[in-house]
Amino acid sequence: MGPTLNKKNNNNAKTNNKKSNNSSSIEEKNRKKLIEDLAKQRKQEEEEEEEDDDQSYDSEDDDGQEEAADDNVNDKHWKNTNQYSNQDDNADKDGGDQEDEDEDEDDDNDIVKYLNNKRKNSEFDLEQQQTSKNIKQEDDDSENESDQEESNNNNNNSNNNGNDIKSKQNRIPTGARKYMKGEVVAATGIKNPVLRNRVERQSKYKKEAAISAMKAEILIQSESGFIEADENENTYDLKQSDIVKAVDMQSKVKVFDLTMEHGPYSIDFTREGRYLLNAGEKGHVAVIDWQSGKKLMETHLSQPARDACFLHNESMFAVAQKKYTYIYNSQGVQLHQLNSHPDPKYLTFLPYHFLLVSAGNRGSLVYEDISIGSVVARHSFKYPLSAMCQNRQNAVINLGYTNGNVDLWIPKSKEPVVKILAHKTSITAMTTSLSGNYMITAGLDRIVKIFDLRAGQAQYDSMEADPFANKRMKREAEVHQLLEKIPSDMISLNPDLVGTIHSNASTEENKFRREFKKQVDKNRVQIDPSKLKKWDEAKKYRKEKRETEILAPSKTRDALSQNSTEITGDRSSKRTTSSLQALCFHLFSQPPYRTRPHLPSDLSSSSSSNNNNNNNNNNNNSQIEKYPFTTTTANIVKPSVP
Amino acid sequence: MKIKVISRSEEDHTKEVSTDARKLQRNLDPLMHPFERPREYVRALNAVKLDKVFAKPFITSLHGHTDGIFTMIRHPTQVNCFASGSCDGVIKLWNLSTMNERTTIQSHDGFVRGICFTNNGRSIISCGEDQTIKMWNLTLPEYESEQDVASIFKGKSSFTSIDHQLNSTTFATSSVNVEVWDHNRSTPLQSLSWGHASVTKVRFNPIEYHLLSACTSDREIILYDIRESTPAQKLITKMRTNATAWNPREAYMIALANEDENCYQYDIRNLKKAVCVYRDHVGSVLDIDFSPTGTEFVTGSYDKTIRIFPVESYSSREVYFTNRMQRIFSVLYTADSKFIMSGSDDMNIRVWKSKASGALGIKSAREKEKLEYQDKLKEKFKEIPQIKTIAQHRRVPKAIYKKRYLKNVMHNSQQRKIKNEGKTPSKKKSVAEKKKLLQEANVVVEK
Repeated sequence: MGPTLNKKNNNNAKTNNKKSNNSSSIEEKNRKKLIEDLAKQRKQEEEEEEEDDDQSYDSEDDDGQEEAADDNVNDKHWKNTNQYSNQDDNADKDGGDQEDEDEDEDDDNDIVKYLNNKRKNSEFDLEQQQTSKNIKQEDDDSENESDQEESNNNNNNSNNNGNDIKSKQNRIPTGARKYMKGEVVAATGIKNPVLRNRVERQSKYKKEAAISAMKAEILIQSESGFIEADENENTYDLKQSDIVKAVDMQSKVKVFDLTMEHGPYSIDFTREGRYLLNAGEKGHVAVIDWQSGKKLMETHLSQPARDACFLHNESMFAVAQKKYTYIYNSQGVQLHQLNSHPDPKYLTFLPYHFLLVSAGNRGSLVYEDISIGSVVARHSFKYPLSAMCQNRQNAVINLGYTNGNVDLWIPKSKEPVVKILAHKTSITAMTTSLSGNYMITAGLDRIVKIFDLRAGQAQYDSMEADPFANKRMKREAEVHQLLEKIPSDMISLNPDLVGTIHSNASTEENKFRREFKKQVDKNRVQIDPSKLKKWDEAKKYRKEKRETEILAPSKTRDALSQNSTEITGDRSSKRTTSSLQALCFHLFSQPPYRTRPHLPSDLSSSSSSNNNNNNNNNNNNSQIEKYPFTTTTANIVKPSVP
Repeated sequence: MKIKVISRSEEDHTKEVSTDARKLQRNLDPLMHPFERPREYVRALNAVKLDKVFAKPFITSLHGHTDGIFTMIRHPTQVNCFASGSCDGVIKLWNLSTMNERTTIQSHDGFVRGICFTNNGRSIISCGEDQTIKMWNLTLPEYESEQDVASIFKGKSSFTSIDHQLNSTTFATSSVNVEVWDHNRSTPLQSLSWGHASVTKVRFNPIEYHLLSACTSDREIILYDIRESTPAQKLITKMRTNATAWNPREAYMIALANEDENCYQYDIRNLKKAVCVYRDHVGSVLDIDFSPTGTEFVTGSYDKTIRIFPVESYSSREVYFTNRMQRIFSVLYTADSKFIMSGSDDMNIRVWKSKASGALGIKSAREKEKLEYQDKLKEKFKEIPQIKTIAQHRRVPKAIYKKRYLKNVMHNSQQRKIKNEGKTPSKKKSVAEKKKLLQEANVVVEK
């Protein structure tokens, strides 16, 4: 199994390079450099793992790149990619006779290839790969097969047996995976033929929908922006003036300067990114339509403005002032004084729930529904606050404290649903990625850069937020927003909970089952003696283990504590932005206690372009506090309506 | 160094000229659309609530009859035309687009028991208690007062119902026997009988033209093929069947309106077991009519309500009633399946929408799309309790509510009893009991 696996990976390396050749080679090189170190490490690990367990390998995408980078024959491949693609076309033509049945599939594949190439250009692709890799390892296996098939086509191999065709029909193209709504449920084991058919049909529809959504990508004309550094350049050296020089004429015209005199400002954009809200420490508040260069509103408040955020659109915004939070309209008229938000420090707005969230110096986190003007939830926290941000995918509020803790809050739970000890010093800033999978915190201990991954989505969606919306559209959108306001108690760690099957639901059947269970007399149940023996043994073993641990403590504890000891040893080593990488957890895609916290490679590549040297010591100087997840809050399934 | 920034001009993304259609930018990336499922759920909830808000099914009542309406039939070719016959022997033709009556014909002495249009739609045939069948000529397209009797057929006993074959000049009547007639013959072509009971209802299959179902007064449903002189098979039910309706899309499916307050759907290829039992009415079901789409049927009952049942579901989708509506003797779908007519004892014909919250008139493409989307959402989240309770809740008169509750309790206890009996194999039933059970159950007889 071992050697064949390697071969497979090599093949994949070729195909991957072929795919990525259209993307800029410079970017690729940079990325490669960064990945090289990581790759070596990971490869070593993998080899060990392969020896241990044949089937444990990661998604082939990354492997391919890494190995290619390792071999240093990489350049050859991507220079000759044209040849490769030609060969591929020829092979397809040659093999056309065999594959008459799957002609449509092949058309799909062409589109897939095109789209893959296109996707490689986008800066988000790594993140997507990452998530897909983590979530759908199973699918990746099938993809391995599919890639293998591609290579088979190259050799004009006629060994296509029935199984291959079957897997071809069942698979979902790589690009379509992100469009899958929910998971595909296998209909095996369902006895009721009607139900089985329905489940099968649904999964079929899901696949079809995902594929057609992927095909619609071809309609996207806009391309995302990027910065490509040359050989000896570093992107962090770039100045605004350099950017202005390098961009096209249309963009050059749009350059403008804001001279802001009234102290540190907090800013906020509307969801479509068109309007900018500035709130200065000395009470200067202004709203600007930066696209047309118009100033909508400017005013000087008598109190300092600590934070400000737009409400559902640009017509209203909230300002955190010394005593209370205030709401102003776009003319600068004060509409409301929110007495229920005392001494606020940070503000944020959950647009789909119409909740204004404020966290204050007095240790209270207040959720206010601004559509009806009532406080939905009020929680209290103990430590002094130093950062706050919301997760855009599940509306969880993250609070960072001066003691380095980060808490994740939802309205319906009095306790934070997750507690994380992220830094040993105070947290200064924090954000979550657009995918909701990554949180980035920055501590007082080192320089901080906040990588806001939302920037640079080239293709906006008019149905979601349209920067060019006219008055009528805005009005309509507002009405729909209000109509489709999600009840605040539906906020949970998993936003897609509603509509999933609740195993403890009080259906008739379950009720019957429960009653039946009660009736069973425990005294009559005969326990299998062999099982009893096993239990005893297990009990004995646990007892012995406990005793040995007491006798010889702290050597073999869990992996988390191991990490922490490493950190204490490594304290002298530099901690620049590598700390940033290390602090990004898979908060939501991963099980809560990972023995080895995972490193999302996109962040490593994007954030650490300036510290190649530090990549080696990407130890995790962070630890997840072993906080027992309040399962009662995280598992509430029943959605309720106000 | 290579830098590219996103640069959009307002003109490119909106209208270049004022006459242009506005460009809609879409990005289907799921990251751009957070909270998809919760938002869909809220939309579904709103849609269900809106359905309730807009649920105004009653359109109008057509008055003019001076006695209870006993039978109704729709025109084979014209969508807006239908005929009704009342207990005082009057037939009226109605225009649904203007909600007016077109023609009145004093046809019989006593009840008009049945009416039907001929296959070309130019004449109407009625039968009554006065032992005659009359055929009236009607000129198209507006039937004015030209009401010449084209022909009169004399029978030996009073007729109970009539139905016309779709593709020929043959029609069938029921009295003591089932009789098959032709327009040009004064005597029946065929007289079919099986047993001694009188026949109450005949109904031709709309697809298999020769297939005829007949309900008898001694609890039988007999199937005839009129090409043969002998009947095909019969089904004996526990209680009398008042009316039958053939599924217009599936020739082998037949729905029965039964005296035992239930409706049944049978597959005539296997009459031993009902495909589905619909148990929502609390009074005997008097009439039944399939929607021309074949997906739903409407029933009128002695409990003064109309119910619409989707074929695939066990429970009714809608229940219609008004304060003044009395026992319903006939129900009818229009040919476009958008409206339902009910003829009742109170001398009125009421017109209802088949979809209670549906809007009348032409819908724009956007509107249609939106409604389809809402329907899909409702379907998707239908099992969620909040949505289910709102969607299923119907206000009904207190008496009906109570009766239905009682009926449910009784049904459940019976089911439980059957289940429990199954659990105790030691208790063997006596032969007499078995016989009794056999007598009560449906019996299929083939000839």
